[in-house]
Amino acid sequence: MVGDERISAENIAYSYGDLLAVDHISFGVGAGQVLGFLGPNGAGKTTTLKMLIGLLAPQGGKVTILGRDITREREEIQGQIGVCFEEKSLYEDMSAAANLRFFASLFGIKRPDTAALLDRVGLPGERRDKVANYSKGMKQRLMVARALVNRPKVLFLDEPTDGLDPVSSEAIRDVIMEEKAGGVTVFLTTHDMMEADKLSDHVAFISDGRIAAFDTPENLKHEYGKRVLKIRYHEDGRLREQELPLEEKETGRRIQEILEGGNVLDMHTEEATLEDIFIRLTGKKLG
Amino acid sequence: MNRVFAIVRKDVAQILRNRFVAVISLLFIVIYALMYYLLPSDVDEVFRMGFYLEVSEEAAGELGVEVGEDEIAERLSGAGKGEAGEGLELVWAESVEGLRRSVEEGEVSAGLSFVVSGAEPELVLYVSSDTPEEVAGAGEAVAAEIGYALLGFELPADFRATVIGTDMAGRQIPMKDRLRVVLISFVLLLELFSLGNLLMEEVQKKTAMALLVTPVTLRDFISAKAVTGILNTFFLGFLLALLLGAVSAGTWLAVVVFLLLGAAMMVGVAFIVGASSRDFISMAMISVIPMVVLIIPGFLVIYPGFESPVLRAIPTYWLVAPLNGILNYGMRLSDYTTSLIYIVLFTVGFFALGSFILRRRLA
Repeated sequence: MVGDERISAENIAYSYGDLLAVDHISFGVGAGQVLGFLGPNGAGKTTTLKMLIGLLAPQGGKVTILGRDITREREEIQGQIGVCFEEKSLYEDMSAAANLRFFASLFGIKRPDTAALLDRVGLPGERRDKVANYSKGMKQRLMVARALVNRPKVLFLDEPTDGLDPVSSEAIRDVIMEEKAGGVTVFLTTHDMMEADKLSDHVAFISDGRIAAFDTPENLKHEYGKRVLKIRYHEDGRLREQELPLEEKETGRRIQEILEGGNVLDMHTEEATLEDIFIRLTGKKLG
Repeated sequence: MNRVFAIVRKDVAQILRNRFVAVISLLFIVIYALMYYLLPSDVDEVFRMGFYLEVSEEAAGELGVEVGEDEIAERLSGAGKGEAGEGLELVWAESVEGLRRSVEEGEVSAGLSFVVSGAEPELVLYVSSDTPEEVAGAGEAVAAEIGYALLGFELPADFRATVIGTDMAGRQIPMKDRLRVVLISFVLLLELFSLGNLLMEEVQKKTAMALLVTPVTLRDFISAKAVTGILNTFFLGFLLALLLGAVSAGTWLAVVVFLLLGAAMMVGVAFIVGASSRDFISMAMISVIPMVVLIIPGFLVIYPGFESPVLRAIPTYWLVAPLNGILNYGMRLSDYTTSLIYIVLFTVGFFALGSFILRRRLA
């Protein structure tokens, strides 16, 4: 848990009939922190997100956002959060600027600076075009811009870069980092372990509705990972590859032997990824 | 309230921007108006009645009836010129079977067989199953009149000349004026499709969910859709009513009240259709069911003989019947208090069911 929590889930649970989608999980996220919420499809990520943003009432436990109970003060809380869904829920027959103006009006904002918002997500010249003509990446950037229209204190992003081109993904990651730097709390669900590693202060692994691990990426890698040195070299006319654990005493001597052979092609260290750790902890793949 | 108006503004702009829906809606109104003005405004006031007469000399003597052909023709002619100057054209049949055939094939509006072979004359009025009630009523009245003219006294037969409903003899409503009510109800029903589509898209494209994570509540969302739907449906219905000359100093209030309530009822049905649909195709298929059922009471106006107690179970009966009464028979709004109550009850029921389905879909 993190002190001064802006998002707090205490023992929350939700079932669809007999299927327990979220099984009494607890976690917290502080101001200016990014929590990467990682899990495969059907793990309970979206149900958890829906409980956090007030679309589903928890059947057990309690959700507190900005110190307020979401089930009791939903409207007030929703005025201070921004949500970006994975699905492109935009009015496609309207322009980008019209979409932003409409959503701003729901927060009581009369003259939103739509040009600045669109500039931030890399859509500067598109504000008058119909959204129907946008590419997937452009729509996703607009979704992020829409989530920021009310200057939220807490941002919920559901797979914000899933299936996007590298340029769009990078634009969205930049926005997340800027928001974090501005003190905004970010709840990020993703399949992308590299992204989670890069952006998150903490990650939570969710599997079968339960949290399998909750820590910083560094701690998880330290605790569950295996640091190795990977060397490729020629020996007796054949290409060979060896993985040498960094922590073992014999490694230094073996490296020296290979180097003295003079046929080294390349060598680099390799840390365990979050994906490796996830598989090790849950026995499941993320994709 | 500001959030509701913001959604209404957006929805109205979206409807206007959707050229297909806008053009189709206006096209239907123009076509309906043209249909109305192209139909003849006069009615055939001549009542064609088949007649078969068989009176034995013995029975005629007992009843004191003159049975000479000229005498009968003269008396029948007198009956035909009847009261209030209505026209009556008598068509002679050779036999009872021939008379029945003439009725079945629509050569005559009704057929009367008058057979006197004993002390009690047998008088039978034949009307086909699709004969409008008012025509059948008129036939019965004419039959009684003819019997009286022949006998010179009231019929001793067990014939009952009972007129059910409004006796329209001498004041029939032109088909184009009947059609006016039907066309207006068609326009209201078509809007069921338009709003159903709007709702289905909001649910399907998840924009409804995007709205519900802002300070917009489900109640705001439903209220906004209801306001948009009622405004749109009422506007088109009222525009058509104006074009068809259905709005006058005497009818405007009743037309406005019934169109508003009718629009609200259609919006309630559209909620059920829109919330139950997964895409445009399923929406089109689901909307056909209520459209077909709700259109049935319109036939009551075109074919008054169609009336049945079962029709009263169809919500639009309480809309169509009053509009018909007000526009075509000079009835007033106050004559239809019961209809108003029924429409409100049906509308509340549809809204409750539609909101329930919508809530489940969004959850």
